[in-house]
Amino acid sequence: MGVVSDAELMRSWQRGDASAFAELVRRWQQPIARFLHHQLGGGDLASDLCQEVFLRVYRAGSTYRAEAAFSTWLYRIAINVARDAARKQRARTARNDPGANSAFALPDVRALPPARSYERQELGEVVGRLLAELPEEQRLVLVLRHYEEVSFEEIARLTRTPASTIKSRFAAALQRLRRRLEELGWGPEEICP
Amino acid sequence: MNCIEIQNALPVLLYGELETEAAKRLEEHLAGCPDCRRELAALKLTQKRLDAVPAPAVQLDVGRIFQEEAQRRLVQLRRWRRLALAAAAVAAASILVALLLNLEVRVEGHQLVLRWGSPPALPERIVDQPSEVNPEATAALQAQLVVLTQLAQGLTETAAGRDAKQRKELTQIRDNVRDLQRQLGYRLNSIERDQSALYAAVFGPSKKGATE
Repeated sequence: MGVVSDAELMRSWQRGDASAFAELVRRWQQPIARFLHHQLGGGDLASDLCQEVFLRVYRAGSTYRAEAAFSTWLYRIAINVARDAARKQRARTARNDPGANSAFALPDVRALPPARSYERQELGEVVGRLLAELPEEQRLVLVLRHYEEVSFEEIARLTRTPASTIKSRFAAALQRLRRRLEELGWGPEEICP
Repeated sequence: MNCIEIQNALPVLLYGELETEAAKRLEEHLAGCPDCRRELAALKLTQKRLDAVPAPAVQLDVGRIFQEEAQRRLVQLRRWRRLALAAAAVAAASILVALLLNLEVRVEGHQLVLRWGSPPALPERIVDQPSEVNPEATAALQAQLVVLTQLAQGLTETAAGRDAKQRKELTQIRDNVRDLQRQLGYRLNSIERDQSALYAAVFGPSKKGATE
């Protein structure tokens, strides 16, 4: 017996099969948590927000129509949850520190220790913070394309933006990351043309 | 394509989403351009470094989602129940007040009539009472009536007579004017004749046309 598709699981759940919903959660909880984690610049919010995404999926389940891919529908909900969370965080930051511009009031990455080692953990922290520095729209495209492997066409559909704009944003985001990494001493070790 | 255009397209090429034709052109350019090759290598390294960001492992509690949703619906139901009870209480109170006040609401013509209590007593209808007959007053009234009637008739006749008289006078004036015109015509002819005769007597009949 083949793997049941997401759309079929949704249909089963719409007919009242709770186990179908549980299976969808099991399949998608990791990608959605990862997406939220990267999109929101790390932190401990991913798990709670992931729960919020599936709660919204549960509530909006009856409105899902199989014409759209389940992943598109799901990521659209996740993007909305991430945007709401970022907005709340910005409001909180503005109240506590009216001068802060950064959405998550990140520490200055230049204050991080120089590139003494290439330990993965340290690099991960730097890249995570640089991701958070990106403009929200650029970060969204980069996170969806790189971490979630969503095609540019699919991103264009789920953000309702032309594919050419999505590609431009992606190129700008990747080039900016490359420049910032180099500025912070994480440049290419041995790049042979 | 110049190097800037090529380098802007490299990220899309790196993720394998460049159209075949464009990818072929890029590859050709890269083969002869060390700067663009260096840029591509730097982007590949950045791509690799993106994977260094750890992703959290989550294990959602599906039961908690069901529970939260059930809780939310319960709260919603309670809220609705409270609202329904409040609405019922308001309705019952309104009915009670209406009954106690003997309230009457109706639409009449273009008006909304709201009345409470017993309907107000209608004013007694004024009925013309036959007054006692006074023969003298009646006779005086009748006399006045006769005078007024005659006056009205007189006015009517006067107006009609005046109109007829004026019409007659106008006809007469018109006739007189016609007579005068006629007489004037005769007189003019006679003068002409006299003048012709006088002319003939003084200057003789040589002046041709004068007698004519």
